[in-house]
Amino acid sequence: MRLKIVNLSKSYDINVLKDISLSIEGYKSVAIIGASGCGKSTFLRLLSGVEFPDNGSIQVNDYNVNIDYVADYQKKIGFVFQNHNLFPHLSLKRNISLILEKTRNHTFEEADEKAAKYLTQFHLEDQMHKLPKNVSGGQSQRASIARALSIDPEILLLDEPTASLDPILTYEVLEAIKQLKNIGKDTIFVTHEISFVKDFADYVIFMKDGKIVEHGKPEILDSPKDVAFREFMTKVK
Amino acid sequence: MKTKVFNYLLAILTVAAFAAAIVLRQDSTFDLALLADYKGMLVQGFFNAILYSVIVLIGSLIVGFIMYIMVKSNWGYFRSLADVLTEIIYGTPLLVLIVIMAYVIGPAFGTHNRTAMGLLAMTVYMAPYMTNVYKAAISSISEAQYMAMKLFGFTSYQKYRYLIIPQVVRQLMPPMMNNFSLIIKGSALLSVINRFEIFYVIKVAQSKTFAFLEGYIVLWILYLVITLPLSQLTKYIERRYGV
Repeated sequence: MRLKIVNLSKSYDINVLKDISLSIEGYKSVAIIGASGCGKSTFLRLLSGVEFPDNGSIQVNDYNVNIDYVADYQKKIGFVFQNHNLFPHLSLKRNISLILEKTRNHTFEEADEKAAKYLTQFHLEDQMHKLPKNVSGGQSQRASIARALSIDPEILLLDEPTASLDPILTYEVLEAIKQLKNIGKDTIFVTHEISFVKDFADYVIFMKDGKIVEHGKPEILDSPKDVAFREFMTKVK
Repeated sequence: MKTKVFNYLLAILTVAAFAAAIVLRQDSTFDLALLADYKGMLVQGFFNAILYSVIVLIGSLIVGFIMYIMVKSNWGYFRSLADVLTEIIYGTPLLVLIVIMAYVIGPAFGTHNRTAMGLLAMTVYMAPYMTNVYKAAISSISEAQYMAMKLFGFTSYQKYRYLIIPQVVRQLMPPMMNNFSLIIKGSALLSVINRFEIFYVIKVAQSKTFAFLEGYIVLWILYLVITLPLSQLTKYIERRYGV
């Protein structure tokens, strides 16, 4: 993927992102890590175009992520939320097929078939008629990944997909995400699971206090230069 | 499941035995035949009570929604007004509100239509409770869900049609049905302004036949006949469609 960030800043009551710039090309899977409150989720939200920066610009592959082009861009991204964020009144299958039917011009039958196919890929064939509240958190999160993939996105964004799960369910979801490696989608993800970053990412961005402090190939995880990064790594081990 | 049914049967029998004991302990005789002449009026009163309650339900859903919009308004005046009205209504007994509406507020606007004023009083009384129902139902849709709707590219119409309204209605139903039950029970108070509903008919029958005991028991049972199935229906809806 190609990612070009220029002088990006965003504030709510406080400055969350402070003048971030970054230009990388040729990586498939970018991890954003850092302590809670470092601005990584905000960064991901700006990358998705649901919110816009106060200053600066974002380019992802061939897309300028700004208000004029955002609708086209968003058709090309799949987003996996914290806490799955499935629509609670729809079955796992309908959560996917509704999107395909209403926003991607599939017929009801096509959408239904495709939804079943993706859920089966994530071993949810027995659960797909159930409501999210009637399946486990891990199953919901896997369905959410299936939902993000079903629209055949060019870029996949994952916002701490395992944040609310216990270790067993986390393992379950991370195993599911590893499948993504083989399908060759560009992926940008925020996570606290360092071992997963090592397995899955080919580029790592470490953030602190709204800034990118260090970035590079996953090897930087083993020998962090920045003090804060080193401290972070000792804590998460 | 079997023990559950058994436990319920036992509980119902306990209450029935208690009720039988109460009836047997009365000094006066117990003769339902005394009320036989009033059967037609009772049926009419029964259906009137339901009709009044449905009108109040619909009215309070509308007024409650208007108050919800006031509460969420950007204009401080409307929020304050909703707040003041809510506090006054919460602090007023329904009985008092009905009497004031029928005999004080109504005439001030030149109307002596006590049915309309009584129903209006009940509508106003229930409106803040309905406002709360709306608040809870609408706030149950999280920010993250709105974000998902936007990211997946739903149009405004699609958002409401497939995602927002179906969820709000599901959330709305059980508490709304509970409020309906409150309305039905509250409708007994319309008898103080002599509206033709169950309690009123019973009072008329009692004054003619002196069948006080029988009257009160029939009165009680008639309300249960409406409210018990309603609460079962509410529970069913909650189980079937709850989120």
